[in-house]
Amino acid sequence: MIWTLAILPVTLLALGTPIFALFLAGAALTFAFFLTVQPVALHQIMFGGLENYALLAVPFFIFAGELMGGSGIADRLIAWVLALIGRVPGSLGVATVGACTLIGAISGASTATVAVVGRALYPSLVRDGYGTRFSAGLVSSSGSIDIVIPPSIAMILYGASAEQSIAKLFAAGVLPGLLIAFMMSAYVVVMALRIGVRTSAGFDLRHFLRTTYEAGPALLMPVFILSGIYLGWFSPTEAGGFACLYAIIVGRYVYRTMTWNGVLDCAVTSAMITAQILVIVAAAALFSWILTINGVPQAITAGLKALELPPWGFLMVVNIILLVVGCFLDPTSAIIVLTPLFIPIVKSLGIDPIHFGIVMTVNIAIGMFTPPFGLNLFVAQTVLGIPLDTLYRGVLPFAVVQITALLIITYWPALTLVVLRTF
Amino acid sequence: MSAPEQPAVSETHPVARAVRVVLGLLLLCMVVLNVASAMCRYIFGIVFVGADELLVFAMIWMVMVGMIVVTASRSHIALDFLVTRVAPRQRVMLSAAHNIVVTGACAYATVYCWSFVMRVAAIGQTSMALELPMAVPHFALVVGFGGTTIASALLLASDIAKLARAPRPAAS
Repeated sequence: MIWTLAILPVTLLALGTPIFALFLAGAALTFAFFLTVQPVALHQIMFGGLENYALLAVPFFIFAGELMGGSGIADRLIAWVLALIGRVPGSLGVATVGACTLIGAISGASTATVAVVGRALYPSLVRDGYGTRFSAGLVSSSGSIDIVIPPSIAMILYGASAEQSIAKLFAAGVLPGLLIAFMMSAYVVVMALRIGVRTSAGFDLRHFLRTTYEAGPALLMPVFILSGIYLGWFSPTEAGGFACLYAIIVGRYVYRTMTWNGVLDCAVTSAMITAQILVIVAAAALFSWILTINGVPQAITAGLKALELPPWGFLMVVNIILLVVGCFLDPTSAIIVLTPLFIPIVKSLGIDPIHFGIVMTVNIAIGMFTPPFGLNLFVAQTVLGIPLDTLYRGVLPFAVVQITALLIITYWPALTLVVLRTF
Repeated sequence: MSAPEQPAVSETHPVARAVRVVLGLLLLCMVVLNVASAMCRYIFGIVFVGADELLVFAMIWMVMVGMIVVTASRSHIALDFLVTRVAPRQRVMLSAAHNIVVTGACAYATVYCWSFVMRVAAIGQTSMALELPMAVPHFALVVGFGGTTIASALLLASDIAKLARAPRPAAS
């Protein structure tokens, strides 16, 4: 069975087979040759994997992100962050991190953020003297903050898979996301001083007030979405719907940058992206179920228990596994396949599943830009025309910064859980 | 992630365009239903019975029909690191190998999804809130995997034809 559940899927992954197909092929061959369970069960498992109300938030937040890019909301947010940062050393670099963080508070798609922020700021970063390698690394790695800052598609998938509250995961992700943004910004400032990059024009109150006025409706969007969830006005899924409606109203009637055809184009693109992601969810759910009925989680639990690892040791092992897996596997597959394997151990060791969800999300976020297969790297390569070799070398210092942040988040659970305990 | 090979059905083909537009409109309708349902519940105290159920079933149909379009346009998520680094002929060979896997796996899934839907239809199972025949949402998987099998088989045929037409590299 190791052939159908391990060797075949890994080989197909390396050959570039669509990810949903490698899970489905592995599952089909296991059903055909090894399982005594009726193969019709595969339908029930895949249908059950999709028939989850929480997953509805995925298409809605993808659509909201598409509308935000199409209606110029993202451009106004970038302009506002640039006006706010002013004369801080490395202001343009810090603005790149800030823009990714702010856009992350509306959209849940890291790759879209890399494309939007990269197009807007990468040429200026290079012109101001940050260098191609540093700028490429900064844009690719900053986009991953999007995954940790709520609303986050990775958190929705983890919540659905681990049966945890998505609203709690969203609340718990705020401070870790801000910590990563702060550490990235601090690193950018230090490097800007060392390289001696040009500093942007100083803080201009009039310019700042004008950009604040122009970006006002865009800035209110994350406030509206997140406060709505945390104040209990609506569920995360309903918040996704409201985010779409808000973005349509702002794009169509406030900024007047979006036509109805533009709205439909965004809807079509979002439907296609949703299909790409959720078909993997269905196939990965089947694969994960087969692993479960074959006792893989129990074997892993027994193996780790035999090692008598303390909770910190288990979290260290999990971090290493997830960082390695994140280099090779897309976030959706990693979460859907690995969450059911880890959750029983997490619970048996007394680790808070919400805290673990955030640790897992940060790992997945780092995997988005770590070589060789981080998705953000390929987006930066395609959209900005940066060679992969430059990207690989450029992201390494930022990977070190984010792994340091990951260790703080892992071993200081209060940072993650303080928001939940306060409210 | 990388530039796709020639798709089985061009995205500008009237059928492909029509399906994509229908899926976009379906998503827009889902947003409207979701917002209307939430607003009516919280502001007017009116509950749309079965709205959540309908939204989930619509999402399943959107994903399954979308899967056919995504397959036909060769835009599934994959690690195409190797694909983008090999010579054009090897790239077509890899694409053919991928399509063999997709066709086989989806054909297998189609057979058993069909078998399951027949059982559900036979017992007349209905949904909890709307009392819709459950065969309707379950049938989405038959359509999705069946359509994907056909789309990937067409892509496979196109890859084989391309390999047959292309001149082999001269032996050194």
